[in-house]
Amino acid sequence: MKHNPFVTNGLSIAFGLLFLLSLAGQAFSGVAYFNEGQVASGLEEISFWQYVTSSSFAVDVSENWQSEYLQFLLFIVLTVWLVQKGSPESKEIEKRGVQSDEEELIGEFSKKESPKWAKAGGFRTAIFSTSLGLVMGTVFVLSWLVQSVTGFSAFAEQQLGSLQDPGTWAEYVVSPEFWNRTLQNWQSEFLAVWSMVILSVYLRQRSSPESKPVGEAHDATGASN
Amino acid sequence: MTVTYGVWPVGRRGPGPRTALAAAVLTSVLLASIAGCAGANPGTSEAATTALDFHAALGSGDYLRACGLLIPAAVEKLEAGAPGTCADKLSQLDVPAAASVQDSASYGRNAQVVMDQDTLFLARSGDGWKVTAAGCTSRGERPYDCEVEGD
Repeated sequence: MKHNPFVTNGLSIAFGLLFLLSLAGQAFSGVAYFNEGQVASGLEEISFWQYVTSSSFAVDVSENWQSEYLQFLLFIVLTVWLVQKGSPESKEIEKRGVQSDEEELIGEFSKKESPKWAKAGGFRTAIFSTSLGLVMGTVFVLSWLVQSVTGFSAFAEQQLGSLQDPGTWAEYVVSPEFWNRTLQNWQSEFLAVWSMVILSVYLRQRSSPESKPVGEAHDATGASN
Repeated sequence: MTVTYGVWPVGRRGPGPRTALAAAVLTSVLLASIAGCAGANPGTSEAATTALDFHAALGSGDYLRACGLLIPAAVEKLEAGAPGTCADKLSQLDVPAAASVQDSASYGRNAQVVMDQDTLFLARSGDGWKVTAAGCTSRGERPYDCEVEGD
């Protein structure tokens, strides 16, 4: 039976919309907050468009993005080797480490419907085999780089507003401001991952694929709905 | 500043690599364009021109024109206290005469222009720049000490 594409893509559509609505909300509340500061300093208010193309908005967006993609990257890569007894987010204890070509359905073990690059062998299969981590890592590095550039610009703007020298990008990336922005995002991401890994050992969400079946044993590892 | 908690990675049930790659490319392009817009520093030379105009006005004794180049908050601060217009107060201040620009930088809506004998701070106003502080001397890590400044 053919399903409605809105049903079969419900998860990506829902999160895509939540993302866009949240980003719009951040932009509208951000310009209002920025203009409060402008008025307090006796300066002109700026337009919505000026705000969303400003370094202040860009750094607030990119500092959150980089930490999310770092979270994904670490979770995807570390779960190859690290396991958690009883967690549905973990592989079975015995499966830790890189799995065989047969288990991964690549090269001679590929199926008829396997992706082309999984069948191809050589560098294409090697790249495809790590493509998720590579893409997440690339977006993380780019987002962090953008955070550093836009963060410096926003910081320099504040410095000038308080009659101080703007400094340089090289000074900014070793400054407390940059690392405070970075680490306050990282700690929350790592806490969220840690909570999910541990709480999902003992707690259940009926019918969620992120949970074990409600009646599954606490020490059953790698079992999920 | 907001701190968001990510959606949980769906791991083995994640989107296809092609979709992920497309999303990553799109994300990178978006980020790069945001960085491009934010990283550019348009208007630095215009800020320097305003600083030169301000000092030219002071040098020629045209304090009224110099006051017109100040942000309203700086004018208000000058006019606070003892009676007198902005031009009167400006004429009594010891703003070092300066004639050439040595360095200038602008980030977002603020700029700094370093001249031969003075350092000025400016803020965007409409399509141009207004002086927020002048007659400034460096105090290291602390804010500059300025003869003229807004609140």
